[in-house]
Amino acid sequence: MTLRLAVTPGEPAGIGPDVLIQLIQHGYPHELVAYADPELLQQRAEQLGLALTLKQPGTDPQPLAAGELAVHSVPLTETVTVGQPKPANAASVLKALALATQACMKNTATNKQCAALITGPMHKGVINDAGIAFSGHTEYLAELTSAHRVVMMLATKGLRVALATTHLPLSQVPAAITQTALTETLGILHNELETKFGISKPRILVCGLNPHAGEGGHLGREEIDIIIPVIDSLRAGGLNLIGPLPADTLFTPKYLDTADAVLAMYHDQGLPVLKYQGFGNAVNITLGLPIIRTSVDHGVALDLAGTGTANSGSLSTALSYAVEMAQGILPGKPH
Amino acid sequence: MSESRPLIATMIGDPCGIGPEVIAKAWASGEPHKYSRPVLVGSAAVMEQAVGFAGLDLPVRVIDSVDQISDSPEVIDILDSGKFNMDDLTLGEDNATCGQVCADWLKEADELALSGAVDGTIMGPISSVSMKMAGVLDQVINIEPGISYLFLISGPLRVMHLTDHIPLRETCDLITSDLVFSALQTMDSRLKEWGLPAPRIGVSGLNAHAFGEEEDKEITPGVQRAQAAGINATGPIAPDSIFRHCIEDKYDAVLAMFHDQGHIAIKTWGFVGNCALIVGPPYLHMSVAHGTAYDIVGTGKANHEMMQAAMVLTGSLAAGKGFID
Repeated sequence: MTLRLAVTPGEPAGIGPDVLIQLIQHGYPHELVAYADPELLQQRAEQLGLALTLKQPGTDPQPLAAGELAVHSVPLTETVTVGQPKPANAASVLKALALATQACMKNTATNKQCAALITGPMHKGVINDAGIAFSGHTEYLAELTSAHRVVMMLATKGLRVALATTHLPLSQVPAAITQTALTETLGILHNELETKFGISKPRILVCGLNPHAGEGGHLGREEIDIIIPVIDSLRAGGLNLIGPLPADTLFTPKYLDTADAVLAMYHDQGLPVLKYQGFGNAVNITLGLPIIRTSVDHGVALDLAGTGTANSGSLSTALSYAVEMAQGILPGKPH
Repeated sequence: MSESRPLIATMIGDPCGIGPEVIAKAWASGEPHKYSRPVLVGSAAVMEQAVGFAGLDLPVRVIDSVDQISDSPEVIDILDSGKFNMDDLTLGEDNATCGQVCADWLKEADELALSGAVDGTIMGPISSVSMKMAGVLDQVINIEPGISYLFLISGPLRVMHLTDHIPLRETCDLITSDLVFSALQTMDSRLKEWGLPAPRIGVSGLNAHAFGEEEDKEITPGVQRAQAAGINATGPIAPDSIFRHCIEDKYDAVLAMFHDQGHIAIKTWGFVGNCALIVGPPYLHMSVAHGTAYDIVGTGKANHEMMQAAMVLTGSLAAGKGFID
């Protein structure tokens, strides 16, 4: 079945528009609807020397022919110069994200509903410079969809890592790992691996926080006071959890080969490993939202915008994951 | 063979584990002798038994001092202080006597190095459980920030740790510009001694994307002081990228901020054959990364490549001939 997917190119002066235009040069089996300024997309295509035919989404989603892209117009305030983000355009960039999100929400009173949201990179600094508080896509989407708690997960071939904390300073991480937060995070991870990934009784490895997972309390007490009680209680409720394991041994094949996902306690506990395993092909998935949302794992790369040297591999992977999740096919596993 | 080959003392590891076997195999390969003049510290009876487990035919000769070594892969030379009795051997199982004797042998090896009789030491695989039973584990793992540092080596990825066995909650407060600067000075001078004339050091950040208060207030000023002192240090760099840069030869070594940061990088990038230096003592202090592997003791299956690589590398570094990948 052909799906309709909402795509936000993100920061217009960055490589978000580039990788989308590059990706559809050979067509696409699903209808991608860019929530963006049509003029910006045409300008960027010209700059890249690539073909681009914009069309309105019809009643039923149609596959894209080579160089074709559907667009939902969200005009920018100022003309874009590549590599130079402008605060004046920040409100429009966020509006595009909000409209694309709404298009993915169930019960949308329209036949234009999208099956998933795929986001390009935003420039946090320029949005904050415009006077709009913005700490990241994940947090913004949680607020927009009234999600109580969301979980950031990154996936490459054969490895899925969810994070208990995301962009906190490391010094604030231990205090942020509470029994409530950890219980909710593991609950979301377990449920969505079942519902969105089709894995029944997923086996989840849980990292410790401290060196050697605390070494029985000698190298920190969070494992004993927080992590172990939460694991015990969720296990009693039927979850298949292993841990807390020392993070430096957990990420070895002996453990990973048996796992459906890993919960890392902080950003750099989980993400460097992914960089080894699949840099360029990692995808960022937000769990806990009422919609399917995937994202590229790269930034705005202002210096590459308009040059044609940006790599669309991450966008391609993010789209594939979104499609497979929407179709109920297990993403990231051979099938 | 040149006489510049350094004298390296290898402590044979826990008598109940695979240490003695892998050391016998590594010795017989002849490789350690190309880079060093090896000598063992431990029990001759344990080594004789291990030579048998390894299926080798090598005499084990007890010597009284390092100047008596035969310097040959065909004869194992060992300094045996007579502290171990074969009646206390429980192959494949922990016991406090073995933990105690390991601590004694380590002390003997370290004293040899401190007196200048040998140029470096290697610690064979010990059992932390046995040493804990004997109450001597603290003697092995006491790495104090600012005084000694754990330096892990995994092929081209080499990582010195600014802090090691510290609860995460306390780690951030320990990271000061003084500590970063002093660690970089130590690292730079050691790398030069080991044979890298112009070491390139990458410094990892503490926070995600190397973006935070500690980077601004402590790490960056520490790196800048090192740069002003002529050290080729770069950073802080995002912790999820810097280790890859080192593997790709952008740096000779990385300074990691804490235990898991460096250990995850070392253990997950897929290289087989790690070893570890303790930087702090005035001589080379190496250990192998594998354990006692009790399940295969005595079967002859134990792989000696990691031990052999550690013996070769220690010789090369002590002679100032650099790393061997």
